[in-house]
Amino acid sequence: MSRLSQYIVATFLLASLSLVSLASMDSAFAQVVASPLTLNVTQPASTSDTLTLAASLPSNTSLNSPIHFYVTTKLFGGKHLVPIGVSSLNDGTASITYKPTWDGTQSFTATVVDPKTGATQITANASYDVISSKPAVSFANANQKNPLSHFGKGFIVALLIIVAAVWVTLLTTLFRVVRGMSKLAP
Amino acid sequence: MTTTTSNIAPIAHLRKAAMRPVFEPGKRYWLAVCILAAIVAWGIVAWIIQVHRGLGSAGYNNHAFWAIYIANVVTFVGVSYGGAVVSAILRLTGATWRAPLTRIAEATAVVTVLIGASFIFPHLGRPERFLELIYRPNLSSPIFWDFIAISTYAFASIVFFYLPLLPDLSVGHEQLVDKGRNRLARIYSKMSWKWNGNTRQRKLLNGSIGLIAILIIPLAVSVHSVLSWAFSLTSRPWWHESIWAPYFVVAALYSGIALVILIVALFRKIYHLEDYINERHFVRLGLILVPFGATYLYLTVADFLPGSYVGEHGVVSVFAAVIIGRYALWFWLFVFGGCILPVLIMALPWTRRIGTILIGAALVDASLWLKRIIMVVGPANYGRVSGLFGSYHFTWISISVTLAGVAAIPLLLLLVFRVVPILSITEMEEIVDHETKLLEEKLQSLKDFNHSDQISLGDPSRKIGIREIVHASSSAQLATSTSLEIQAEEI
Repeated sequence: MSRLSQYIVATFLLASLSLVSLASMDSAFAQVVASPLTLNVTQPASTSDTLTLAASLPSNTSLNSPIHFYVTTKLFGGKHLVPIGVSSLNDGTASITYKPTWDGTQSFTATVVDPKTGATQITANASYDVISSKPAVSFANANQKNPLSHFGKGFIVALLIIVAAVWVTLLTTLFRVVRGMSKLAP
Repeated sequence: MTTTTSNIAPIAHLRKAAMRPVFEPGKRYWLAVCILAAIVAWGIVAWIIQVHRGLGSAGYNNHAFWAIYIANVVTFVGVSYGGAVVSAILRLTGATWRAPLTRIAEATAVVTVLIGASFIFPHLGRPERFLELIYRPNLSSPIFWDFIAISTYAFASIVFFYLPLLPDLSVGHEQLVDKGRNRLARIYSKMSWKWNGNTRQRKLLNGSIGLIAILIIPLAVSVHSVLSWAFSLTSRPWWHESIWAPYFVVAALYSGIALVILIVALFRKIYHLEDYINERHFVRLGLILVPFGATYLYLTVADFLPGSYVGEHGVVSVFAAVIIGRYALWFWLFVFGGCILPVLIMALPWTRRIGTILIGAALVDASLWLKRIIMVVGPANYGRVSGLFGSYHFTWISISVTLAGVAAIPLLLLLVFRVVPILSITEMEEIVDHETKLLEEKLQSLKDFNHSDQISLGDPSRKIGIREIVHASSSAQLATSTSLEIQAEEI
């Protein structure tokens, strides 16, 4: 077997092993989701109000690690969890307060570390629809568009054309001098 | 027979003086380079540690999400503006006294814009994100337009530095060959593109320099305007003031001219250019500072006055912190040290000396950096929900990175002038030729009036010929454009 073939076989085996380990990780994660931890979101809230997040564990559980709370966000690119607080269990319940900073449906996650396994996180999810606070008086021009919004892409294209023109001027000037010097030399 | 009594550097020495950093950099040159390089290296190490530990190690936190590095970007790109625009405006207005200063001013513009732009990397925290500006640009983001404006301006500065250098590379080539520096001579020869100074080449070159000089002024204005708009599109009190774009432009000119004064003084001293750059140059640069200083002070008042009376909550809180609160000491230090005192130094005839002008220029640059820190950190620290201020403290990492940027200016300039002439040889010689013709005509008319070819300068024993007066006066023209009038008046 040539050396190249050996490399190809080795790479294939390595890739297969990686896939198998990824698949096993996925199934482990699936087990974690079905957890004894529950998460409740209470109190109606607008963006300026406070939500209470309460995570509970059954009384017969042996888990007593602190509960970590997260909110799911798509801000800053991609969907990911942002930590919003940690609380210890008290009579099987851990709670924190949180002020939502945007309206709409928000997904919260609570996690607890199983001391037996050490690394496994037992997770619970809950969603809550945060209603945006509305002013008592309606504002006449609330829907007024930004006056420059009409330009839209056209404005950006115009700017890019100006920038391109500047670069073309700089480059042609430089090129004209460089070529002209040699040409005009006796 | 008469003798020339002038102690002014003759024109023949000009080429030697301009090439002095290339041939005789001096014993302390490498020592200075090593010390400055060590400071820059230390700053780079600090930045690498920051990348490893995160922006928190530079003092950044939930409140101070923008701080020292963006202030450095504004400061360094701003001072670059001074070098380029001073040179461009003086070229376009035909101010002949500019000649010994333009090379240093243009090199300063190139070096400082590159250093200023590089502060974007520590400011980003994660430097690899810079690439997203290129392969995933957000066209509605001011950061993208900052990138476009700064890179365009940086390229224009390099072209503006290179074109006037072209004839001097040809002149320097001859000297390098004489001294046996063949490798550098080959580069000079290649880069000068067969320049021999004929009329058509001069016409082409002067036209191109004029075009770039015209282009670089609006470019520089756009760079600083866009920088200010990067602030205005971020939701903080005080950052939305409509006055900020011209405010930034004036600050850039003010601090830039101050830096040109400091850099010119530094290189004049270390390369002994006193014969070509004298007190009159510093006085003139100082006088240019006066209107910019006064305008900046006026814009500061215009910026603060309305908001301090009828501003919204956030603006009032930030202005209170700046004028009478936690930043007041630094703000008033800026007002007196950065505006009032330097303007007085430059404006009053009895304080217009090189030493005091340098002190004034140093105060301007230091104070304007301080002002930019206040402008960035003050509003960034203000909590829009709580109305409370957070805190920001400099750390050894942010100070090291900033000092590295400061040290990089003289370091890069020392390295640049190690390979290119520090004075604009051809330009200075052209000015001398032109002025010589004018003076010859002037003195000829005087001669016709006196009916003599010998002119007495006060002491009857010191009689000198007209041609020698012309020569000496023309040399003096490099140092002072009014020496001709003085000679003529004496005659």
